[in-house]
Amino acid sequence: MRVTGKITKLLLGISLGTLLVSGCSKDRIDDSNKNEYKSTDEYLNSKKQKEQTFEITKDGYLPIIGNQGTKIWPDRNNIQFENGDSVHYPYFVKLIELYTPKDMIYAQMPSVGGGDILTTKGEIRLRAVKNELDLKLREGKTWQVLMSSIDTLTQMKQYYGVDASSYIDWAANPVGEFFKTDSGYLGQVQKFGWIGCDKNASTSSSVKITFSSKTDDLSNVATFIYIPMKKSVMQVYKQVSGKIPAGIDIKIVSIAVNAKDSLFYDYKTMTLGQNDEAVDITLKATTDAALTKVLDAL
Amino acid sequence: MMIKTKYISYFTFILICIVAFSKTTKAQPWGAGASVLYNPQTESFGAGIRAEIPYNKLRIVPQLSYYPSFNKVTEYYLGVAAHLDFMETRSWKLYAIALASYNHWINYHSNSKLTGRPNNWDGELGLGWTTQKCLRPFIEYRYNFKWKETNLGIGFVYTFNCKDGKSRSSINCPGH
Repeated sequence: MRVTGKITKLLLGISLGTLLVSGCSKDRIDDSNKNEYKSTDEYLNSKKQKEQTFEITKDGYLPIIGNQGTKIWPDRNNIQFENGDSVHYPYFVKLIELYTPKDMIYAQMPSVGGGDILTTKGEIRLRAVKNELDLKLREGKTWQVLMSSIDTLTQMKQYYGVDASSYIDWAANPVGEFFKTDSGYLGQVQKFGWIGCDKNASTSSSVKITFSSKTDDLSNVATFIYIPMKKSVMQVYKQVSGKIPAGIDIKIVSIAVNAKDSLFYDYKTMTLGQNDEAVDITLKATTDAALTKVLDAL
Repeated sequence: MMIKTKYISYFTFILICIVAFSKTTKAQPWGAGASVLYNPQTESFGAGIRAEIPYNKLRIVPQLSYYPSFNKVTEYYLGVAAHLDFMETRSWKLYAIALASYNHWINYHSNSKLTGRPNNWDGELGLGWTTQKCLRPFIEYRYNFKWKETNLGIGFVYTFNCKDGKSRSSINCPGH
């Protein structure tokens, strides 16, 4: 045997000594002692915009107008049953309107399409129903819709909601546009379901945010990011955000409900840098009224 | 895009290290090997690959370790270690390990008591045992100072241009 030097012994001593002193840690898999929460779905569903129903009769007046100003011009001749049969009066139009970040958050309907954030002037869910069967627009036919947002934004496109199993993704209709008018954005929609008045707001330089907490188990916490400059809402899944333009101001709202149905939240504002960010969340007890006020102010 | 750029930078750094060392160790035989890893603290099994480049009394060991997604912690390490033999017989030897690596914690999640970023730089010290053959099994123990965790490894390294007893290029194996 031979010993090659004092440095080696020193290295060995430091290694073993440090291990004895500092010991080992299971912190990376230890979830204990954190506040736990149940799903927020029940709370958010209780707060979201309810679906409105309009009966369309032969003698009805056009357009029908939703609670928040959406106008729809139904045309019986342009719709059909799934099997192609014609539709006779009466039938029903069902409408959900989401025009504010608060309502999009309550409905968990972020404005992100294919991973890109979208500037949105509103989201609606439009359906036509008869005998409890969903109707569809005939091939090449449209209904006229006016989204009630008044803004100076132009070149707004029609986006359709696509069911991505656990959330609704948004896909642009390549030929569908919403034209700015004095009373809102007017478009000829080509299919029913979720319809967004949006445009792509992604940028070449983007960052992501990873969320963590020293105090709270975030598994069931609903976290949303609002980007005021882009008028876009993003929901955070698995504690990692989607792509957000670098250097932009954002608002972060986390919502949680514990087993006793008590409400908790965390609210932050920050300016993103040029690199990915890590954000620590600490939930605090709140009330429905206080949280509503926060969401109203987004 | 930022992350991808980082990965490319790390990979380039490792490559530069390998090339630099290879130029100084042309006369000495390289080795390559693989290992199975276990981290008792995260209760995770992984796999590793490595090269061994003799450099004076050291062996420089660029290596990649990966803990797959069936574990509680999914991650990989990309780093360079220095192995220094400090005790040996004709058939085996003990060596000290100093390892610096980039760590990407793939399923980094909020439930951990630890907070921080999924991308980390780690330092590890440890001990290893291996034989003096050309195809050398090894056992290693390393302590990770970043996470305060141990990594246990068992594997093998094959030394190129080497025959047990004598080398093909009349160059002895590292332990001979």
